Amino acid sequence: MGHLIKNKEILAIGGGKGGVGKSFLASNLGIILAKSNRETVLIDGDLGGANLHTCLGIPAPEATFSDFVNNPTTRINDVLLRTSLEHLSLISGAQDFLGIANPKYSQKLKIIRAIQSLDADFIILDLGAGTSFNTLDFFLLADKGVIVVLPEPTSIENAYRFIKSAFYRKLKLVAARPEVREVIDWAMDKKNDLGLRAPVELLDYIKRMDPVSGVEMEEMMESFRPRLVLNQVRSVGDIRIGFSIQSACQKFFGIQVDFVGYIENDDQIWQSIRKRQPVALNGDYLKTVRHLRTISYNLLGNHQLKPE
Amino acid sequence: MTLDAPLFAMKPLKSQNYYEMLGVPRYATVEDIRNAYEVARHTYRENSLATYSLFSDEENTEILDLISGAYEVLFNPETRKEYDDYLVRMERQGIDPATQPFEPTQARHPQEHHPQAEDILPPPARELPPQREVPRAKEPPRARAPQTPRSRPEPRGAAPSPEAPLSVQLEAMSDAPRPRQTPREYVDLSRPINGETLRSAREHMGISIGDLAESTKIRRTYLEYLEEESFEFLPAAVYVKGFVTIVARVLSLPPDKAAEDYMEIYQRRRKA
Repeated sequence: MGHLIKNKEILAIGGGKGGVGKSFLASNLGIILAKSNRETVLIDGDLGGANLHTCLGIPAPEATFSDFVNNPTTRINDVLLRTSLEHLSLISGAQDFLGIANPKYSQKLKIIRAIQSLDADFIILDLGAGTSFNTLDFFLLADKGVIVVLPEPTSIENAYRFIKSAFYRKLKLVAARPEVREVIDWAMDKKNDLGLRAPVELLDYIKRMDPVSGVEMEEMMESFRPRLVLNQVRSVGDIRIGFSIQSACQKFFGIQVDFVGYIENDDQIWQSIRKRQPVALNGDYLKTVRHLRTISYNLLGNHQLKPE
Repeated sequence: MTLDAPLFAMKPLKSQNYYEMLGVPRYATVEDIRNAYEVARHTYRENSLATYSLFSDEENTEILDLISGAYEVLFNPETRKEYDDYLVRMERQGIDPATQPFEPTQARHPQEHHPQAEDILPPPARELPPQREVPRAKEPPRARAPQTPRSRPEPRGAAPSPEAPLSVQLEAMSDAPRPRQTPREYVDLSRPINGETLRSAREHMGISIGDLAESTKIRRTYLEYLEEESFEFLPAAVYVKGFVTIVARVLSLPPDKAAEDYMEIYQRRRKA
């Protein structure tokens, strides 16, 4: 993807449900990276709910990402806003970013290339809720996709739905032969008569059907490795849910999900959100910030937590 | 504490090797393996938050059975060594391990097969229970209570020696597949957990006192006193309770029940 001058990394923050703390994670991660002297750009990709500027405590900006997307003469650097924090810039979202009527996949690639061309070490893409193709494609195009989940049934179900949608989306993108695509469509239909209950069985089926493309697809799917962040954790048992989700994803999807960290539930957090002062800005001593730093460390270094 | 490489190949559970099933790397420590198994036990149970929307109860049981089988082999250093050799052999010969099931060699000697829960509990009224003399650490734990048919064929052994406990002889005679159990199922949990229970559970899992001391960080002598119920040599009650809880956890016994039962014996004896 483009020629890399710097070792740039695009991190996409997604996850099915609204209100699980995606923007919270994105903004604080951005601050932590900027504070460690890495040039960081935060991009608000929240469909219709752009609020990253609020999370950072800055007023609604005039130039937004949609100006860049819709206006060919606007360059991506024109919509880049400097924040009060050194090394941290923001590209604010607008109602219609990613909402542009069915952008083609090639258009999305162009947007990603423009994002790649930003002069930064890290680019954090806050994707917003939902499992639209736009959200999924940007999640898949990023170098690393992070899913935020709460230890609650609805949130976990949504996270699985998101992973499943992204999994099938990616599978279809890498499937070259029409017969294989057809099988994937069948499998996506829950009442498929192929007897494939779990996605991991689908790939096995494809491998038997067409060993060459099966192995090829398997290799490409191995790069699908979502990262998991568990937010609003209240007990040790809650933390265990992160490992359980990881295990279940392995057994069901056959994919590796890296559990990179959790954030404990803390009144300090909602106070900071209310005051529009991100915790990571000046709360170095807070437990939450320690947790965020662990997440950042694991995310960047391709590490994950280990059950204890 | 981090793991870097992907831990498994993208393939259905049944064709995964034991490490992949447990989701641990080949270089995993005993502790890692135990922790991974603990996670699995919490993940594939009824009403588990992480699996209710993905798997049915039957699927959960099936998955946990497979993982338990993997755990039993990998937790025991000797069967693990054998399994590692087997994996290397399969790789060298270019054979998919899924097509050629692993058979621990020790299991071919049923006379060495350890006694079942009924043989252990209640503790035999002999001075030295026979279990203590038999080096059962080689044996992967197995038991008979039939639940679901297993996919991994159990090796059939030669006829047991006449000295073997009756249950073992009967077991060897039966041609029905012998299902494995999770370690805590060896112990009759309707009976109080005492020092003998701790020892037999430990031996069933093929863990030496030294291993246990290493993984629990409890002094070896204390562990011995704990199993012998030599209360006079043990530290204050609060420590004993802590020891029992930790040991029970390692042995996959219910920690709360273990602590409660053991401390009752402890208190009773101290008063006497």
